[in-house]
Amino acid sequence: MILNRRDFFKVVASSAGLVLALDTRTAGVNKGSRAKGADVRTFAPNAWVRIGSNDEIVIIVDKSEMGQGVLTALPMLVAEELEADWDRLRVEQAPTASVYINPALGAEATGGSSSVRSSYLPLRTAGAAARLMLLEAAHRLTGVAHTRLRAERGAVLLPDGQRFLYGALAQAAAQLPVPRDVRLKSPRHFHIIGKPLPRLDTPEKTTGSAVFGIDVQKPGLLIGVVRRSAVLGGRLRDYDERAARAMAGVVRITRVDGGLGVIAVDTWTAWKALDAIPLRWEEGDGARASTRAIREEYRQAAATEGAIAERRGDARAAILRAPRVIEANYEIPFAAHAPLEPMNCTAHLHDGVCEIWAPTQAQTGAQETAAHLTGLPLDRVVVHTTLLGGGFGRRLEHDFVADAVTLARTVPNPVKVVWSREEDMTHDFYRPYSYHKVQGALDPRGTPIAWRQTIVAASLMRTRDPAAVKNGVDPTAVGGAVDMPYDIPNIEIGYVERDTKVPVGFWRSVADSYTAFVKESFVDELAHAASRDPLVLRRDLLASDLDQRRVLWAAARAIGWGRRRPPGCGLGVAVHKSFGTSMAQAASVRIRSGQLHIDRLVCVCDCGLVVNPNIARAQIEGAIAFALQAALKGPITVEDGRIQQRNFDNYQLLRIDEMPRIDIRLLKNARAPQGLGEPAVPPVAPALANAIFAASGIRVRELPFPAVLDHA
Amino acid sequence: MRMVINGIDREVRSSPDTPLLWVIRDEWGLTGTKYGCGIGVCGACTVHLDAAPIRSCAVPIGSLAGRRVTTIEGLSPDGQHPVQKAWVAEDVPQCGYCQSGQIMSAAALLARRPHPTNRDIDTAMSGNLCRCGTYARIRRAIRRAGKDAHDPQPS
Ligand code: FES
Ligand code: FES
Repeated sequence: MILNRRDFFKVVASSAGLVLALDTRTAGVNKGSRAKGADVRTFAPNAWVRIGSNDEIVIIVDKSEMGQGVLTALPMLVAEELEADWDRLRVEQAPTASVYINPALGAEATGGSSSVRSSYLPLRTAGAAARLMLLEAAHRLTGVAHTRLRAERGAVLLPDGQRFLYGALAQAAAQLPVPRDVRLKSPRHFHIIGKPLPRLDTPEKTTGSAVFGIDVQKPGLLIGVVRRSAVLGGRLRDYDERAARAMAGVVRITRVDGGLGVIAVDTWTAWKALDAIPLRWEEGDGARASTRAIREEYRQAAATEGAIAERRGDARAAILRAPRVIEANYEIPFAAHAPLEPMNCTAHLHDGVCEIWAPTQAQTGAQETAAHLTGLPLDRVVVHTTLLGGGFGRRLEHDFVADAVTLARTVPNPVKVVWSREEDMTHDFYRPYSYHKVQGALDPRGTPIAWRQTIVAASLMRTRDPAAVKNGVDPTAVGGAVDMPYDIPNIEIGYVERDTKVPVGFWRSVADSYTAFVKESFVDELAHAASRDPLVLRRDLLASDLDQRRVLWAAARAIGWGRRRPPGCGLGVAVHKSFGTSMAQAASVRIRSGQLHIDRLVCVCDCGLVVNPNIARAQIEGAIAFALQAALKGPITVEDGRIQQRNFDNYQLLRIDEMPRIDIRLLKNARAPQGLGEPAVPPVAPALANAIFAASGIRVRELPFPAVLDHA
Repeated sequence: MRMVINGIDREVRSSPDTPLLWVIRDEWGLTGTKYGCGIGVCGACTVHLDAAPIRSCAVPIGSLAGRRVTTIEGLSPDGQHPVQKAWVAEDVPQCGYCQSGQIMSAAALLARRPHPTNRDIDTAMSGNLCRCGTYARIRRAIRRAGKDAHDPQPS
């Protein structure tokens, strides 16, 4: 069936019942009750603001809500300049459209701690432009001079006290040209931005009514499940479907990329059927992969010449001449994203359209994947973004979207594909394993004069965008090691690319999650080698980065740096800048019979202007928990080509009884907002490692920390 | 067989080996109860069986004939259970995926112990994983709910 454009929009509109929306008036879910009817005129000056003549004010959010609070923080940016009434808004998730392309990522996508940063000016401008047009409409309607009109809480106020609700002006405003030069408010006049407003999505997330990808329901919905080779890169050779075919409720058995999919009437039936199918695999050479072999290979690779990622002065010569050289190797393991909602996606092919409901961080990628698989043009693929039960970078991939589209192509019904936890855990795109060889040279007074580091890690960009790998350096593998903030005259950072069979991806804070561990641990080692206070040495070396110096100093003071500690207790600090944000961690630990107890963590953050301190604090709390998990637990390991961790019993997440006391300080800074979802991750592990050293004299150079800390 | 789900007596069609979780989600369409691990270790699927919190992914339906099950949807008629109110007041959820399970575990704890100690909280809640790290707020919300609910209703 061929649809013309208008029919197409009808099809899409008819499925709009599932549009993700929140309403501040009812403080809760309000799905699909879009204002309709012939008599409602809509004023839509841009892609983020829609005002109906019935006074329904809609703000559109073009980033995925994965817990970081964009459904609240982004509307705050629009509402501030629009002078909207915060208590009378509707917030909707954007569809796929080129205007929603994230300039920081070049696609409609959510990542890189970029949501607020990249939206700060465009969304304020969108709100301000709409306000100016409403004011102009009021001026034309009443003849009152612009200077005597005021926009406030969703209405234009006249000097005589008369109020025109925005809705009443919508039709007139819609006739006006969109202004080009829009003056934005001075931050001094903000009354929404900067407030610790409660999240709009909290009420529905406490009643069970919030709809995540896995909760999508459609008439005639079928459930799809998949199984792939336990061996990395292995492929399905053949299978015997006879027993499963005979089972009631089984609808289809069909191959998906590399593995097998089953469609059934419900989840349990589908899994039982999958279990009843003997599968034979082509294991391929992935079967030889093991953590031990990777470690050995990386160790050797660290001694080879890397591609130069950064060079200042001549580190090699300085090391040869220096009176004192310190050398150490660091090792950071693979890590899983493990969002609590496993990978899933719903797809429905109908009327020449492929509709997708996905908890995705990458709408453009999802759309392209579906277009490629179905042969449909891009504009016939509609992606509806649901809530995401965690993302952390995992949902930038499209493998789960491909599964849903592949299975949905075989039936007329919508199909929801749900991965088991085991599939999710063993087919992640893991944080790359990395090995680091570091040398530091001290002059006779104990001042660091050279730093040479070789980083061995797989490349994220090699398979995604090989052109991004320049002169042998993948910037996503060395971020946080290059642009060394410490004033050391001779620096060389080398990169040795060693790809393994283990798929790798963007894991909350990416390379900074390991480079900060090395940088902040090794600068501590240099301080101790030079018998200098690690805090004071850092301060001296940060002469040209006053932001980092400031957060570091504040964190050290808050933890009580310099005070005498009882035996077995120690303090550690670490500071790191990533995604534009300077973040310092200070840790206070105790070690008793080899067991680590974290008494307290202090985090001091300078992320520029804070749009919503309530959400900002939650992001930092969450990032710290994420980093603690990777420092204390895990890791992901491989043997005979198989990921050894399959579920939360042997890949443990942080539990509530392991969450230490955390004090967070957000420093005031008027500069534009910077990233916040990721920057609190990198400094956590090194602050703890440094505190462990202070408490015990044990230098931990591997993550996760050993279960027992002793001087073995 | 029949069961009472959120106060309503219902027929169950799923086969007896089906875990309660999938009956709740797929057969009854109550999607507030989540799947996280399927092996009883993450707590996302927590519901009340009579008054006790259980991991619904680990209990086959066949053993439950005639029993009463309460899911997050049935915890209160209007989302105003003291625990839900405290959750809103402390703005606990991030992604929110674990939160139905967290709330069901917290409600069961408070029904048993209206004024839990920190240790009670850690013990009762340590089987509910939150990947987003909302634990500090969960602790605060439970203490708040304990304070606010003079007469906590067992659900
Ligand atoms: S899904 Fe039941 S405990 Fe994890
Ligand atoms: S809020 Fe995301 S898993 Fe708990």
